[in-house]
Amino acid sequence: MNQRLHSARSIVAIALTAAGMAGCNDYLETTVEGQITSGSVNSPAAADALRIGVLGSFHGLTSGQSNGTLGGSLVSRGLWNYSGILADEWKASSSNAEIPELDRRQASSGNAAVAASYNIIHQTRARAREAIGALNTYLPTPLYVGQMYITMALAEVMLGELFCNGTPLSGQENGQVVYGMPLTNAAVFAAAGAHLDTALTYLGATDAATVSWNRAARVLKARALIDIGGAANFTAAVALLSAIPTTYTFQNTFSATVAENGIFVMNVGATNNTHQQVGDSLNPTPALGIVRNVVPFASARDPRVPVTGSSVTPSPLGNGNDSQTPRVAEQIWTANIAAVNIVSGLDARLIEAEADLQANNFAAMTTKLNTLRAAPPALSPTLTPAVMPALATPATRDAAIDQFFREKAFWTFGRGQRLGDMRRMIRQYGRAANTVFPEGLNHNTGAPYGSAVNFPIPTSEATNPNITKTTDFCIDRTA
Amino acid sequence: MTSGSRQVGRLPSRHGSGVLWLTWLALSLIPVATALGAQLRLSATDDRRPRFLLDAGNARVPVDVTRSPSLERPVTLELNDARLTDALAEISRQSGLAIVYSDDAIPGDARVDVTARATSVIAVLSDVLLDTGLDVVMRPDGSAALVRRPRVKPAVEGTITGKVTEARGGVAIAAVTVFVEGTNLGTTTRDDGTYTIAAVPAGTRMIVARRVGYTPGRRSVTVVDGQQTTVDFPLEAVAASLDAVVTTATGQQRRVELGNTVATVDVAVRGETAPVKSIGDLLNAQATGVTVTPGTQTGAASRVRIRGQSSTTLSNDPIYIIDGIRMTAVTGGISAGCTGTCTTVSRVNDLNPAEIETMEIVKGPSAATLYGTDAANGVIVITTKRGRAGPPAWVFYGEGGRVDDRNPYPANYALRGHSPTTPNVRRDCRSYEIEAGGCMLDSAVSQNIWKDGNLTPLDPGLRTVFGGQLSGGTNELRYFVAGDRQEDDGSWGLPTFDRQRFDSMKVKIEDYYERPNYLKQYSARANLNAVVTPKLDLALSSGYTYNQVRLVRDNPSGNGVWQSTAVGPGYDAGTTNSRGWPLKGFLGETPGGLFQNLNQETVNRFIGSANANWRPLAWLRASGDIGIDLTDRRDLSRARAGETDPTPTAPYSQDGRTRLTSFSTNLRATGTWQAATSIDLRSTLGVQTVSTDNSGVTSRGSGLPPGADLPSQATTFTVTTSSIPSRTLGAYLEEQVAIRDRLFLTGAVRTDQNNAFGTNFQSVWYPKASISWVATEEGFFPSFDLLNQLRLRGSYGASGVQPGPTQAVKTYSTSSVFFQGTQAVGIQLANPGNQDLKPERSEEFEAGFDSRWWNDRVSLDFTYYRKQTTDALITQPVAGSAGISGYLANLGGMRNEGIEYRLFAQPIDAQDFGFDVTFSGSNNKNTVTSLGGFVSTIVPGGSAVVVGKPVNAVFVRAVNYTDPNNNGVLAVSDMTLGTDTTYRGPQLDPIQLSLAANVHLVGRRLRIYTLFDRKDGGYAVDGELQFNCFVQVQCKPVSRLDAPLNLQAAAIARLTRAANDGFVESTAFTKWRELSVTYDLGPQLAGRLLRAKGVQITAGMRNIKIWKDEWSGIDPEAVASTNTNTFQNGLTSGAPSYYMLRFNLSY
Repeated sequence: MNQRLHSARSIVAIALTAAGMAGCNDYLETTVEGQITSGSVNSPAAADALRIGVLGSFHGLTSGQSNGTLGGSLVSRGLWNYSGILADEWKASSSNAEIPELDRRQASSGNAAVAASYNIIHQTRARAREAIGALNTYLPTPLYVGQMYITMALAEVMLGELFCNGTPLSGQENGQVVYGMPLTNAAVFAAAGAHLDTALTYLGATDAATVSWNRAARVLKARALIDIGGAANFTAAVALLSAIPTTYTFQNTFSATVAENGIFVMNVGATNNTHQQVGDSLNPTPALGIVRNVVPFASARDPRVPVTGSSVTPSPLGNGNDSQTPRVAEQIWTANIAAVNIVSGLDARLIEAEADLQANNFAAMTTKLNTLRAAPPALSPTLTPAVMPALATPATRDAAIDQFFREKAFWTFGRGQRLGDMRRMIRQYGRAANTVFPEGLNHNTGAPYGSAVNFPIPTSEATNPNITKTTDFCIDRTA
Repeated sequence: MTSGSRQVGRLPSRHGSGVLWLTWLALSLIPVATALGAQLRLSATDDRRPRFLLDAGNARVPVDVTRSPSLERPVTLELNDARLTDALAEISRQSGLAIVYSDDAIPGDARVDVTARATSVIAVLSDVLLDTGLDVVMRPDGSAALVRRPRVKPAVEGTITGKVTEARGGVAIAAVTVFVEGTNLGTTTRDDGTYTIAAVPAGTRMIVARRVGYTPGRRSVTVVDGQQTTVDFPLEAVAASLDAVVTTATGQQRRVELGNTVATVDVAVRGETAPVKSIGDLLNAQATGVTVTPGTQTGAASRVRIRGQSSTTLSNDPIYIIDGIRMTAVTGGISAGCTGTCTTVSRVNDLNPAEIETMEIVKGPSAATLYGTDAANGVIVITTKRGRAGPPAWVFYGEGGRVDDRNPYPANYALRGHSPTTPNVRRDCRSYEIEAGGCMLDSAVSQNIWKDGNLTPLDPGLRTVFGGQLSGGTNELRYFVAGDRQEDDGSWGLPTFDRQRFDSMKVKIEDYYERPNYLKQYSARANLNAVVTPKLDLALSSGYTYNQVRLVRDNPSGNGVWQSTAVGPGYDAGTTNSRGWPLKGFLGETPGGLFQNLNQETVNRFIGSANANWRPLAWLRASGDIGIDLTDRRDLSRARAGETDPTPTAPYSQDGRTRLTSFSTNLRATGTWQAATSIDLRSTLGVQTVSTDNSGVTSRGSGLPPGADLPSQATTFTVTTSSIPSRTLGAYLEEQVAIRDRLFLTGAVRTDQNNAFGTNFQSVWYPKASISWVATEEGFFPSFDLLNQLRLRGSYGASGVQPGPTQAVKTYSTSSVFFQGTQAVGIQLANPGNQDLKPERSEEFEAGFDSRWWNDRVSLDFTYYRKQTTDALITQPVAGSAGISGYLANLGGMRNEGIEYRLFAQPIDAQDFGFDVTFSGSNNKNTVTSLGGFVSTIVPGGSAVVVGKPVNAVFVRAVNYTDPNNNGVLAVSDMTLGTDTTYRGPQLDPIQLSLAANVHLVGRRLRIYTLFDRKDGGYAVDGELQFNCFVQVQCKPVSRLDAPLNLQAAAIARLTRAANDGFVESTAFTKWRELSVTYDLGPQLAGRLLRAKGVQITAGMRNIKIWKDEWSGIDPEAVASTNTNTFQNGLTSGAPSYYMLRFNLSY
């Protein structure tokens, strides 16, 4: 009897265990605090939050830190900085491998800075698409939708200006990735132009905000058109810009606690921790000779690019993050919250002047440049350059090209236009790459520069089934 | 014949999860198994049948049937509905057995059906007297009396007691497992070798005594109702035995019963006599197939890999079980002042080795199936020390040691010169520039900061350990109490010149400036074992740890102390840091400045568990474990105003408060049946829950004003919080069959559900099967003089690793945005999610043998294993142009295949001199079998995950060179970089060998132990040189004219082509890991000198010497981080040496 009782107890115990487990579904229901899931992104407020997220990406594309993230990660250092390092605006002074490789014109498809740049461009596009969908559903405010198209187009302009021919524009349908085909830079600029056209359809209102975004769209459209090149496109670009005053600015603004000015942080910011110095033809030691082709931004002492420090060892500011590159700090933006012009009336005037160059009307070009020199627009909250003497009209086309792009280089220093312009000097003005890009011995290695004139497509794109090449994914690496 | 079977009610079938289904299945099987047991066995415990008793005067004991021939006589009956009395008369007639009974004992109307042909009397009587309530008592006169069974039946149970001693010398043996075979009854011997087992069912029982190092003892005994029976065991000492008991998921089992290998580390002995500082040290080179990469700083985490690496995405760490419950063992926490790959800590190091009795290493899915999801990388089962019955036994110990980084760090070099065109401008030349005439050499200089007494940041530290333990109790209540204090100064210290500067500046020198790498640990433990009733045992375990660790900032990026010292210019260039401090040849920052960056973790941790064993029936045991592991961690990282100049923002303060909680329960019921004389069955049903939560708050402030040290005092103040819960619910069923105690078969299945699985995936099933066969015990096995025992074994099993709790879910991150003057919070897609996400699954087959030779003085074990991981979680590659990040998907596959072997020999085992040696090794071949169709990109001079190659395979291009003028210096043009990329080898060393030797002298009082180990077959980029040439302050191979040509070529490739290929080197090395000498004073001397029972003195060394095959850096085992799945060799300091002197006193 006792053993029966024990057996029954055992069975009951096990049965109770099983019964207890029947209620265990709740046990597996957990909540991870702080997680925003897709189920909560279905309201006007959520659509607006997505829009603001896209504007956060705007920073990383240009002069600030992406995603509103403070810190030193690669993706938060700004594409304008990277493009200027491959060009001649900046010298790398970083102990991170990726940045000096850009400076040496040696960046490979495995370069993390290249990958970070590529990713933020496409993430911005994808985020903008998602925001447009949400805005159209929950918050169909025309200005907001227009902002998203402009941001998407800005990303595409950067893609075309920085990267080689062959970058796809992929998308998503019903949550599935639809991979794009390799595109020429011209096709990418065309896509940007189309998105800007769409943006303009949303930006017809006359309130100040809408007008400002409308002008930004038109300057960017003009930039995309001249990137494509050709007389007709230059004419079309000029037509877009006529009503934009020279004083117009569309700015990136910053906050010390949320998103800092990435140009300032990387160059001026934390004393010996700066990763880039103002570019120069002078190397740290005479033994390295001079860097050919480049605009000597640091030593030119041009009022549009004021600097402190010295390119030649020793610099009174000491050395940069790599402990060996003399520090040269720009003085355009003098604080980590100094606003930066993304597009401006100045850009419009420069495009108009280049249209004259295209038409071989060097006098008109010079007149427009001299107009700017006579009444310099503000380049930053703290810098309105002093009046500069007028330039003489160049006698030859080559001289006019040199004059225009040198002027533009000083006017647009640090604002992400120089690499695109240097490529266009090769592509549209017949210059050889070794007469445009830095040549000689690199300040960092003492070894010759490489041959890159653009960023390669990063290795992550190999997953795209439309990419058939197995090593270099670009269609070509030409300008 | 009628049947004596009994029907037990079934539970209704239920639909639902796998867990419930399995539970239902198990419940359904119980009655079946019970019936089977009853059918196969005529049991005196079956109260429906009569008991056959012998009248022994004042007591009645079960009859020994073999000694009662009258009960075995055959009878033949064919009766239908006959009266019982008639049936008894016929049985008596045929057998000649007089059967007597009173008239009132048998109901007059009792009738039976009997069909028996040549069946024994005992069987027929057992049948016809079914349910009559009668017993058969054999009387001295040979007759059988039928008597009414007493209504209140006295316990048919007795007590067994005895003593276990060494056969030679009679010394008592403690901690011997003594148990009643075929039941769940058992105990362990006290310190004086005695034991007691209560509530043993009466009858003939086999009592077994086992302990590692002794031949098992087996004795048959008759247990008498209410009486105590004495069974003593003299055990023979042997070098090795298969009969050791190991802890499995279903309880303790003999090793011989397992079809898989389980390695055991006797921590109690090793921790007292070996030069070990941490759990990682305890494991290193102690078990085949277990690769330990030790951290190089005091308090740093070790990386443990068992049978290779199975995942590229998830953790490859084993899980840890302590006293039956899941232990938090995550790597990570405070790190050495950086993000990414840098030295960090592990929660495993919170454990104090002095409190541990044993560690058992369950190597893979073939053995770990029942531990469930997360166990695919192996399980380390830790058992803490327990009290033994007896008078209070005190143990005190003290240890003093020195931690000294004796690595031969090389000097930094420079070639000082000038350009031909500017002779008055001094510059540093590179050898290839000199060779090409572009730089004119003036002088070659070098500076070895490491060896400069004024500058070096190395400073040997002191390590002290003090502790005491008390154990004892009665057989009913045993206790173990311990307390311990450790302090370790590490091997880094403030250089003299920094100290002088601080003094001159009137800067207070904080303790963390002085000793930036430091450990302080207090631990306490109280364990209780109670026999609540003869059928119920309870064990309570509780451990508390206070642990404070400071890590020195040693990471390669962000000006770590290794970088600033090893990558300097090679001379004092007269430069200063940003605060105007002279650098004296350091790069960027001096050690004093770096040490001002505090990186400190403080942990308060409690691990408590309760274990209950209830044996309601001799054949049934129910066990339960419940426990909690609660960790409060504070991570403090700070650089105050005026202190160091850290990246990215100075000064700053970060304060992280994290609570790690793990709550686990295990419930299991085990039934044992003796199906036949030679067949034992054991069935186990278990359910398990594991609930973990990792929650915390981190506040960070950047821009501290002078004097401030709190984040909230800073200009920029941010707070982040997190809470990451994980829940696992599992159930398992295991059936084991032991045939003649030499063939053991096991089958099991486990199912798990977890909150991390995608919503499209519900539960996972893991099967298991194993066989173990002691071939030499078979009669037909040929007899060899030398071969004492041969066991063949094989097992198969599956297990998994679960994804992170949020990886299946599509999530958005928040982003504070400041745009055109307005600040707002936006959201951005963070993880696309994957609702099909399920755990990685690993299936493993292993087979091998264990053999004992030459009177057990030699043993040879061999295992082959093959582990195939499928559904491996890899990041679904998404092309960058898609604009979304990759997400985890079950796409990959990986295989680990290899062999493990261990040879033990004890050629001499005399009283005054003994010598034994253990040689063990393993060779693992890792192969990536699938990446879901995606092709990975091979980056030469680095590692890649490529199908058909080991994970993180290293690829290189040839770095060719010629020295046309044979002057030993290369020009840039003398180096050519190959165009073909070829596979060089795996990153993780596939080959491990170890050689350990023990020598006993002076009547076994003096013991010398040493350990060598070797790792081989791996390749990696020599981070020291690569980084040196990347930073390019002074690239060592081209900053001296006598550098090896291959390194000059490698440096030229790095400097001019950004190629690391030339720095890829073999990581093979041999290390003299441990040496210790222990002297036992013996009881007489110990008593005379210290009034102690015993005194042991041990002197030991660790990390004594390293021999490298090819590696040009300091220590290929030194990796910048131990919590990643890839190896970044070099880039940090090497492992320090450790010298210790320890006293163990027992009272």
